[in-house]
Order: sequence, then structure tokens, then C-alpha cells
Amino acid sequence: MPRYMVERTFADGLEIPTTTTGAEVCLSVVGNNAQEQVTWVQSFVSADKQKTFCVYDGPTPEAIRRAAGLNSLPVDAITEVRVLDPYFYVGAAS
Amino acid sequence: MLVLERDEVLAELRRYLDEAAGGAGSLALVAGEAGIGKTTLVRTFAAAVGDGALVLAGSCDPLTTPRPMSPLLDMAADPDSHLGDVVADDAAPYELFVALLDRLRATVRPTLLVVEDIHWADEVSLDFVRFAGRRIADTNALMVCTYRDDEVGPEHPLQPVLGDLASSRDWVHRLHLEPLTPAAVAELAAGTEVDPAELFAATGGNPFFVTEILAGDEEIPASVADAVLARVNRLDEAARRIVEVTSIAPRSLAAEYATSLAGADLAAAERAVNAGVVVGAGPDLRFRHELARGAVEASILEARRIALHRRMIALLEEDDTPDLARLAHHAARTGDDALVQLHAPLAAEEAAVRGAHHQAVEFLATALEHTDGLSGDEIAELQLRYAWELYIVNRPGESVDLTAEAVAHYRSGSDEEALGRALTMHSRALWNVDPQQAHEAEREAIAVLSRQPPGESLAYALYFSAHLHMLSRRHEPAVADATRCIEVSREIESWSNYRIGLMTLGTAEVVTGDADRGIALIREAIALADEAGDYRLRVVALGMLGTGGGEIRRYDAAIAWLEEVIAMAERYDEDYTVGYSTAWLARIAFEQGRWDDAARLAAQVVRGGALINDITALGALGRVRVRRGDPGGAEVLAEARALAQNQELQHRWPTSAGLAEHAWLRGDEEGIRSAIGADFAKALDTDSPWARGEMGLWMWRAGVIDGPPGGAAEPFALQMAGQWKAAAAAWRAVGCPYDEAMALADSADGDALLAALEILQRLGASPAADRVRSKMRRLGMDNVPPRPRRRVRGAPAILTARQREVLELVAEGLTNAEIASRLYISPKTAGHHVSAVLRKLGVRSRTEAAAAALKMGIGNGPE
Repeated sequence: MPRYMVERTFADGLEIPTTTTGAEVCLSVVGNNAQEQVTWVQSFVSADKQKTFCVYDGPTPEAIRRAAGLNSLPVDAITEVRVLDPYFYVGAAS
Repeated sequence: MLVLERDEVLAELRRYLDEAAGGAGSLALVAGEAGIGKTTLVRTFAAAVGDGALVLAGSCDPLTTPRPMSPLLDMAADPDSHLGDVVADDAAPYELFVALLDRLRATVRPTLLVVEDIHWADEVSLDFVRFAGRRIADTNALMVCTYRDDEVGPEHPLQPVLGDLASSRDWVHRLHLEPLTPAAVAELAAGTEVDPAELFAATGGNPFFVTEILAGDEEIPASVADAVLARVNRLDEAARRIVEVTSIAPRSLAAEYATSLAGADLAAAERAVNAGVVVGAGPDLRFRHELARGAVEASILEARRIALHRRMIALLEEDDTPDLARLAHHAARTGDDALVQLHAPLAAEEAAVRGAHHQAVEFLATALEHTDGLSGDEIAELQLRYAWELYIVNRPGESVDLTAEAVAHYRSGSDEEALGRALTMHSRALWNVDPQQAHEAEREAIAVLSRQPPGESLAYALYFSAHLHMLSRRHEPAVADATRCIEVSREIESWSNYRIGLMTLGTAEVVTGDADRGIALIREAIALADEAGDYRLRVVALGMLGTGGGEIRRYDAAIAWLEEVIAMAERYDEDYTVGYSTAWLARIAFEQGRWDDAARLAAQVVRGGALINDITALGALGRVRVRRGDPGGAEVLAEARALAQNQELQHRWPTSAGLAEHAWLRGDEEGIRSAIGADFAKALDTDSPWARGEMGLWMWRAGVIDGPPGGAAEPFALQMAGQWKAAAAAWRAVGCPYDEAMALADSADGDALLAALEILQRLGASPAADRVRSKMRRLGMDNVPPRPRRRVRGAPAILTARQREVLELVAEGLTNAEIASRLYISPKTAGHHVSAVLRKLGVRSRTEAAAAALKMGIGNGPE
């Protein structure tokens, strides 16, 4: 299944409180995603909380968009990505 | 009969039958290897059901080529079924299926519908299994189908039916019969001298093999065949001959035939029955199992076996209504060309009439393998019939060589009508392989046939030629041939050719001429078809209207026609037609800017079906991704392009346009030219305004041409002429918002660019929107709107499914009590949900929540 990076922009900043509500919110995202066979792997949030970069595994970009719709999340851009790590190539030259 | 270790399966079937009695019908597919006891299971179950259900049973036979609708004919033969009149009616297969299904809905008792050995089923019976399997859930019937799963490989015709039924339907149950356990084998062997462990080792627990061995003497033979033959060899000679002749018949043999063929008397038959080698079934003799029959037949000396098949044919021929498929089967087994010639073509004709075209193909193939003694003319006629049937089952390419031979034969003779027909068949075979040659063959056919007084062959040849020209989007030749087809057909009063000529003329007008006139002509053809009861033409003609209308961008009408085609085709399980029409709906949704719909519809088209279905669906999906800037657009378009390699321009140009757009949005001008490739030149070679327009636009964007090519469709032509305002208005009139925005974006006018940006942002067309923003900055505009950002109050409104339901009802204006009763929860729980929703949305009142719901696209607002 491909991996996608999804960029989102929140004009008022993304606010997920570290409370039960916040936990509920995250779990409900996971549940809605499952309907489209989409898995939320991890997100990176900008310091001002206005931009997020979210890593997802999913079958197609359309599934990503439908899952976002179920969760009322905006989608600015979707890019297919692979992991690249500074230490991947260590040992390759020897 | 002792039936071991089948209690669970029998209980499961009982459950399904009880559910069916309650109105929830289902299909049980029972699979297992040969000899595992599928028939025994079914018979045991039917006996246990007794009068509790109406039992309709039929089975498929191991004929070389099966008889069409054999199991259905079995069922109809049972007077309790009351199906006799429906079947005898010579109705088209789907009418028969519908009538049968209506009976299943109408009965008071539940129905147990049994179809055995569907791995041997003919095409029409397979269609029935699929038809009934899809619709059985709302009847009170349990349908049980058995088959040998070890004989159904990936290419087997049953495979797609199984795949289709089992995948998405929860009323389809798959059961698998397992071999007996050592304990069960031991139980069966109790009281004999046979060692249970050895018995299990030799048989693997296969029930038939076990019982055969136990019925013989104590020695355990190496194979099932040996076990069977050992028993046969213990019979006296006359009884043995009875058994041998019975093995020649594929299913069962009337006892009087058996005695006649064997030169023995009924007493000998009785001895064979008493020894348990064959069983009596009414007036017929039968083997207990196909394995036994096959073993005995194979053991007969070949010369004798062939002689028996011959004599069987002689006996069967005396029947009033001979079973043609069976006669063909025996004829094929004799290897005698004259006999095959006598029977196979007739069986082919019956199969064709019954709609079993795959079987017709097989019978004719058999006939063509035994052509000794036939004249050149007779061989050529067989070849042409075979080619005709191959075309119907969508394998025209296989008849290229055969039709070429027929043409060569008739060329050396003086029968010009036959030569003309052969050339037309050859043209049909060539169409997907070499369109140029196909055209030439058809031209020659018409020339040859025109030298004769006009007849059906000329009318059909003219239709086919017009059809080829229409597919190539060549207006004048298409109209000329179609018009002449209509005239000739009227003259000779061939109304079916008249209708298809009319339809083809109309289609040509729609795609390359006067669309309104074309639509009227196709409608006329449909009206005539309805009068004549020609349902086929209605579906094809509506398809022409839908896809032709879509190509010239008359969206509202096209959508209506395509939806009508889908409704009709779904009723008759015409999956290919449903797929193509759905793919077209995807394309139209794409062009109209409804990109979610386009992606959803494209995904519905089953991959690996017809080529043009995949090409059209992948084209729509790829173009959506390109316009959104989503990954996977170019890949999908490249796949569509590869599939469309040998197809007509109208299947290639949307993909080329998509790839060109992809290159352009990345600033890759060289890429635009290589994406279009030869398709612009091809477009100029056709008379299609929309092909000239779309291909021309990209050549214009790439700087290859300065202005619109002649005959380009209006919105495109205006764009290429630099009249962006008129072009945008034209695109708006057609209903293509993205193209409207791109026309506005061609300008250097601030307001136009802002309007373009607004449209593109609304559509989610990020790459194009970014281009417009760049252009605005380059032009020195200082009010360039940034990328849109979602304004979300408080936390992103991430609701659970239940909370979304509640919000929808709040938005409709319901009170907590009303919500509670709607959702079958307590008012207190409803109240909790409403509070949670308000909190998550960050609003303080139900009204504000309703407004938020509207913005989120939840619910339709107050009723």
C-alpha cells in the first residue's frame, strides 16, 4: 500500500487538547479512516499550529480525500513518499 | 445408504432452507473432488426436506460440448415445476430466467433449486446460475449448486461466475466437502476383512472409492478405475455387455436401448443392477457415479467403442425430438467425418438459437476438424458460420485465417454473393487486428455485392462499412454507406438491416455532423426496434446516444441515456455494457468538474473486462489526479495509453490530452509534444470537431500552431483564436468549469484571472491555481489571494459516526426527544450526544451547529 504525505493548513490553528476529548477526537479519526482502509501513521505540526504534514498509508489518493472528508479535515496537497533516513546508506559502500 | 460425517453440512443447508422459508433466499455452492459425495449429499438433503419444499433439480452432463439449458430442461420436465410452458415457449434465455425467478417468488412453500455439476454447464446455464445467484436473496428459495473444484482452473468458464457471486454478496455460501476421516472409513469397513488403515491409505478417504473397494473382493486395487473394473469383470458376459453399452451414454441410457445395443435381454440388465454396478432410474440405467462410467468406457477396445457410438447414434436418430448435442457428442467420439458433419452443425444451430454461443463455437470447431468428404463450398460455409459465432463471443481475431481461406475459395469460383459475404466476415475478423485491411476488404465486398441484384448480404455489408467509417470518424463515407444501406434495406424489406442502418447514420451525424438530426434518427431506430420487439437494438442505440452525446459534450442528455442503458443492462446482467456506460459517466463527471464522482465511478468499473471500459475509466481517473495534483495521475494515464495502442482515435485522444496537461502543468513543453505524439495529425485526418479542438489546443499551447485548425469545436477554437472571453462563455454554456477557468487564465486581465482562480480553488485544482497565482504576480498584481485555508472553529470538528447522525438531525430542527425516538436511544443519551457535538464544534446553540453542519456538508438542512 502506498504511503502519502498530506499537507493541511488550518487558518485558526489546529487545536487538539490533551484531554479525554482530544483522545476521543484522535480515535474517531482512526475509526473514520478505517472505513477507507487508510491508516494515520504520524503527523508533524508547525510551531504556530497552522500547518500540518501528515503521513498516511492508503490504497489511493481518492481514499485519502474521502477519509479527510469523513473527518472534516482540509487537504492542500498529497504526495506519494518513501522513507529516506541518513543512516540508510551506511554500509552500502563497503 | 449410510451417510457419514455430513451432519454439519446438512444442518447448515437446513438452516439456509429455513431462512429461505422466511423470505431470505440464498445460494449454496457445494464444492469437492470427484467421488466426494456431492450428489449423495444433495439427494439426502432433498429426501429429508420431503414435502417441506418444492424441489426442482437439474444437472449438467459431461458431454464433449454440453447441451444448452440442460439442467433447466430437466427441471421443466418435472410436472410439479409448472415450468413446462415457459421453457417450451422458445423464449429468449433472459425471459426464461425472469419467468423462473418470478415462480420462485410466488410459491408458498420454499423452493429447493438444485443444479448439479455446474463445472460442465453450458453458457446459458452459467448465465442462469449468475442471474439467479444475484437475485435469489429476496425470494424464498435455496439454490444449491455443486461442482468439482479441482476441475475448475483459472481459465474455466465457471471461474468468473464464482468470483462474481462469492465476492460481494453475503447471501452466497461456499461449502466444501471433505474426505472421510480414518474413523469413518473404519466404520464402513467394519464387518469386512479389509484392513481400515490400508483402505484409508489407498483411498485418501474418498467415499466413492471406499465403497467401490468394499463392494469388491478383499484385495485393494491401485485406483478407482481398477476397483470399478474388478466388479464389472465378475459379471457374466451378457450383463457385462449391458454395462459397457451403458457407459457409452453420457448420463443414462434407456434400458430398452441398452438391451438392443448389447444384444442381451432384460434379465441380464437386472443382474447388472443387482450386482450394484449400475442402478435403475425409472426406465433408464445409470452408473452410480461418473467416475465409474468413465472407467468402463475407457476400458472398452477402441474399435468396439466407436462401433457402439455409431449404433447409439442410429438409435437416437429414431427419437421424435432427438437430443442434438448428444448426437454431436457421439458423432465426435466416432471420429467419423460424415457423422460429425451430419450432427455437429445442427447442434451448433440449436445452441445459437438458444443463446449458447460459446457452445455453438465449439460445435462448429468440431465440425471444422472433420471436413473429409465436404465440398469446398460446404467447408467455406462452415468457416463463415464459425466466424459469425466467434464475432458474437467477442473473439473475432481467431477467424482471420479461416475467413481468408473462405475468401480465397470463393474468389476462384463464380458465386459472387458468397464471395461478398466472405469478404464482410473477413473484414469483421480484421477489424481489431488491422483496420486498414478491414476497410479494404469491406470496400471490395460492397463492390462485389453491388454487381448482383440487392440482397441481405449487400445491406449488411453497407451497414458494416458505414459502422467502420463512423468508428474512424470519417463523416462523408459513413453517411454515404449508411444512407445506401437504408435504401437497399427498404427496397428488399429487410427491416433489421434498415434499423441498424438508421442507427449508424444517426450516430455518424451525432459525432461528426448535425447532432440534432442524428439524435432524431437514432430515436427513430429505437422506436422501430421497440415495435419489432428488437430489444438488442434498443440497448445498442441508447449506448450510441449516451457515448456519442458525451463525446460532443451534451452532458444532461448523455447522462440520462447512459443511466437508462445501465438500468436495462443491469436487468440482463450485461456486465460489459454496464462497465462501459459507467466509465463514460466517470468521464462526463470529470469534464464537468465533479471530481469525487468521477473517481468513484471510475473505481466501479471492473478491471480486466473489455479494453475500452478500462481505457475510458482509467482515462477519467488519471485526468482527475492530474488536475488535482494528486500522485498517480501520469501512471494511470500511461496504463490507459498502453491499452489504447491499437484503438481508434476517440479512445486515445483523452489520454493524450491528460498526459499533455500533466506536462504543461509542470512546465515541460517538450513533454506536451511527446504526449500528443501522432494524435494531432490523426485528429486532422478525421472529421471530429472535438478531437480537432482538444488536440489542437495542446499543439497551440506547445507553440506548434498559431491558431485553431479548421473545424475545431467552438470553445476550443475561440480559445486558440485568442478570444478568451468568448471562449470562457462558451465553456460555461457547455458546463466545463475547469476549461472555463483556463480560458479566463489565458488573459492578462486582473478580474478574469481572479475569477479563474476562484473557480480553480473551488474545484481543488491546485497546480492550475498555482500557475494563475504566479501569472498574477508576474503581471504585477498586488492583490493575489493566497492559498485557501480552512477556517475551523475550535478543534477540528471531528465527530464520531453517531455524533454525525445526531448533528444531521439537529440540523433538520429535531428536538432531543425526536432525535431519541429516531435513533432508538433514550432522550438522556440523545442530550449527551448533542452536548458533545456542540462542544466539539465550538458553538453554543443548535442554530450555530446547524450552520456548521451545512458548511461541513452534513445533512440537507431543515426539512
